Amino acid sequence: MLIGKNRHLRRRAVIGLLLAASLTLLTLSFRQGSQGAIGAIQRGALAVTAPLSTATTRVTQPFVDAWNWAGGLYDARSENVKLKRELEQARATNVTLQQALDDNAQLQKLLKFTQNSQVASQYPYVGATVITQPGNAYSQTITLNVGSSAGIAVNDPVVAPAGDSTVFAGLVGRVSAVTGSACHVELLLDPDYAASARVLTTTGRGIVLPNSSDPGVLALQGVSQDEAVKTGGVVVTAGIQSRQGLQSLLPPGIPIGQITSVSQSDLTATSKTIQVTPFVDLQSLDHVLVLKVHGG
Amino acid sequence: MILDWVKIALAVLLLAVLQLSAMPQLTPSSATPDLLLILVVAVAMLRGVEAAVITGFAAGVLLDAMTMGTMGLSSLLYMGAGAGVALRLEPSEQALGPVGSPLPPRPALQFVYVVAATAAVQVGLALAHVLLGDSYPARYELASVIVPTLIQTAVAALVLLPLLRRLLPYRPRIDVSAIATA
Repeated sequence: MLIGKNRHLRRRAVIGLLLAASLTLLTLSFRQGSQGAIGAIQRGALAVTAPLSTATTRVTQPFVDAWNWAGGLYDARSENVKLKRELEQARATNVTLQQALDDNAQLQKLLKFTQNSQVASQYPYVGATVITQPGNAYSQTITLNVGSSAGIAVNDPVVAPAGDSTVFAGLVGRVSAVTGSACHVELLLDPDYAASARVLTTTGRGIVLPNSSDPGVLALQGVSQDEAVKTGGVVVTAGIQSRQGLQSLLPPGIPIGQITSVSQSDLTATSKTIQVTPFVDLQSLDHVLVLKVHGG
Repeated sequence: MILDWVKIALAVLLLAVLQLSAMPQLTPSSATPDLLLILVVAVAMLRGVEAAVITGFAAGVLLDAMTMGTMGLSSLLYMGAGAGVALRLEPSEQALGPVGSPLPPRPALQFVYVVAATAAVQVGLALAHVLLGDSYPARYELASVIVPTLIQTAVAALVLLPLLRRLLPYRPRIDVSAIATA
């Protein structure tokens, strides 16, 4: 036997005594709660340890603060990363929504054009999306995502939502080439473009051409000096038909632009010099309508 | 011997204050490391059953008093943990030569004893609260109390155990007279 008998007895006595003390405390604790002897013990312990706890708190406070600061910094960094990600998502959503709003506004205008324009009621039409924009100032063409399979033919007029509120849509150009699923559109500003036009509320007629001296603006040529054409007048397609049966490629009545200046460069000239600003911003086209005048 | 008891008493007081004042502010969860239990287990490994039981009783009473909890409950659990570890390490006649003395367990094993004792005390505490009728749902107990306490106590033991080994250097606790008679 390694542990002596006396020590065995002492050990048992100590364990038994402490076990009994614990059970007594447990019982008293349930009986008295925080009153009586148990309450006195607890209050006494609190009184003894409270100053120690205060001192410990004071001593450890800088470490606790440093710990909390480090933890707060880590949390702030994590939150910063999370918030940045959320901000990027919100921005992307905002761009998408803004794009949807713009698209909606443009499509509303096209819809109103189809409901109010006589031309649109005469010819079938198809909506299209611009898939390539003008490459440079010398190549004023765009590409649409519709082609001959949708009934598109060469020379069909193309209209787009107008920035001006007096007209819903304006002429963009004409279809110059067609494939099965796409088509090229020659814009009004293309150097090769020309269209017969007239000024509303007057009998003035002429040819609309790109203004070679002022890119982005059209020139209305051939209007007689006698015509009472004024700034602000609305220019539309004329849709001329000759006596020989020749017909202009565009039907009459499609809005083109607004007269921004009228002048006479030479007293001997027989026609006025008229500048026309297109209703449609030809540099930012998204949604257009193709009037199936020749196809369809 | 008396110096040992003074050291243990001071350690109980200091660790109780640290456990209740400083640790709650340093730990991320509502659970805190059981520093007193680490002391009880260390005493059990280095000083034997009686010292462990006395230390466990004192630590438990102080803890329950300071927290205004159910007096005696922590004492019982700490005493049980201390006695369990100490009795498991008690040398047997076969393991010990007539004049030899057993060494304390290796540091890694001491750490394992602390973890095991913490698990036992935490489970015991949860069961006691079930019996007393003021328990939380088992999932909450496990996820928010038992496991966090176990992890935090294990981490604290890595620092505290070496300090306690220095504070209470190992002393053989063989009854010399008993060996002599053997």
